[in-house]
Amino acid sequence: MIILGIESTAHTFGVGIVTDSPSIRILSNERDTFVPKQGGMKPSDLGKHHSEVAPEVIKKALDKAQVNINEVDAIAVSLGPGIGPALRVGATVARALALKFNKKLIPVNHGIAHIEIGILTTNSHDPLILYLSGGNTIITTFVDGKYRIFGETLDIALGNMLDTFVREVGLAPPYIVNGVHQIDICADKGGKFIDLPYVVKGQDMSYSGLLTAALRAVKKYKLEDVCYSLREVAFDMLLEATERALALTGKKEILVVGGVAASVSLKTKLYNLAKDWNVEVKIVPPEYAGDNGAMIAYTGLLEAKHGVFIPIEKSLVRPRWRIDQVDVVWR
Amino acid sequence: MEIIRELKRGAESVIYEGYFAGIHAIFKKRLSKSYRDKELDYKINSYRTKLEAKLIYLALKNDINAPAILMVDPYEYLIVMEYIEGKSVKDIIGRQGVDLKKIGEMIGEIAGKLHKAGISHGDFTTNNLIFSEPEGEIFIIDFGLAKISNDIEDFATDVHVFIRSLESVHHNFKDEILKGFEVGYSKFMNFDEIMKKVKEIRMRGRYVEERRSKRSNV
Repeated sequence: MIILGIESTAHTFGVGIVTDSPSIRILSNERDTFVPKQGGMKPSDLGKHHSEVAPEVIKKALDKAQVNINEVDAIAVSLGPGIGPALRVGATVARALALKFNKKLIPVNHGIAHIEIGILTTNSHDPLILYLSGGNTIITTFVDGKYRIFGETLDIALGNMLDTFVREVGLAPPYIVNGVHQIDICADKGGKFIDLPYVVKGQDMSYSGLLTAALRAVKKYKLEDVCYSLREVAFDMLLEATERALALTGKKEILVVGGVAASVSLKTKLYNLAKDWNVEVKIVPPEYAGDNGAMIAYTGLLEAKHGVFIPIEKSLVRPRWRIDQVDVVWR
Repeated sequence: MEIIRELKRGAESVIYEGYFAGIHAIFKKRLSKSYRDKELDYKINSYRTKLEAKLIYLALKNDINAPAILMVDPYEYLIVMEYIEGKSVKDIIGRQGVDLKKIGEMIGEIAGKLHKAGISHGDFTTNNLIFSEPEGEIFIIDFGLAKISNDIEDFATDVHVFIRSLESVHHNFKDEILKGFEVGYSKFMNFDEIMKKVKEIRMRGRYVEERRSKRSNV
């Protein structure tokens, strides 16, 4: 079976192709990411960008995989969660391909796809999962047919918070330089700890107050020290919540997926935590950490093998589709 | 100071049993995290140690059965408190000769007194309620998640967590215990008002059947 997957939930339009014969292989993983010249991203700009690059990315993915569209068995598409105007481009392209070439359509939850590609590429077995990206901060594990959420952010996501901070203080864009986030570059020059709000409620975290306080602190303290303190507080909140989830679930693996998984400082902290708890830390490889089409194709493959398809007329985008709403029939 | 054995290891602290100045005692030691900035680690752990001790003391002053504090060391993140001799309420419910309504009433009194004193316990389960055999009284332990509050939401959360702990482990005895709880709680707080809020909290839950049937399209 060959599946073509389309990712289009936020700033990246990606197309990946996977096959399961003779074994599971990722044949191609092409993408084009929208980078604003300045400031944040306007949803309408994302939609415009995706619709412009879509044909080229699809063609590249097919060429690289050396697959003809007629050989593809089904089209997988991330229907959510994400930003409406961006999601609609991916969904429209997927429906068009499905109709024109008479393929079945597979609905994929973007968050689940991050998790599944993480489990595949790190060879994890039964991990506690940290799903950390621009839009999501979730501590989850698979229990009884679903990925259940043990803890999550109560307001904005960790990645979003860090991005907004570096942008507001004039360090970004670009947000990442040579694989290192601006917050880390800035923080490594600081080291004096400044008091910032540390908010953990049970297993949940709250980041919006921390962002406001850090932006205020910049007026009073050295920027590098604020970067350092913000990073420490933000990650430590997450790690404390992670420890509670470990104590509760007794899992022996921690799997980190999503764009924030690339953070070096987070890795260092996690390895320290892993020593205390005698657990193994597994981190999704960089090429599958950020949004990509291969993860959608792979998850689509898992779903297709279990008969999960969606009629085109029902394939509406779901901007608020939680991962714990998905019946994970393939596990 | 003499430690006999480790009783429990949680995400945040380790609980030991031992003796302090000849008194049978519990040692609650919060752990330093190797991943955490040293200053932040100190701030969090010493703050929480002091807060927990203060809240236990506040409970004691308000005539609530809680363990007496023997020593607090905010630099070592250590609280030493009296060992409450007895069994957890979780273990005695359903045993022969146990008056469930009376137990419920005593628990209700503790919850009512705590809330009247402006303390929300944060983990009010049958696991954290100790039935002390000689006195036949009930004690509340573990103020690790407690806080000062006058918000009915926090109080209702305590009651909700208590009911949830009854449902998950002591389903058959829930109604009898709750009848007693109402009597005890009503001596200090408005039970009907709190139950209204509890219902509201339960409806907010993510897997609530009543709500699901109302919005069957979800």
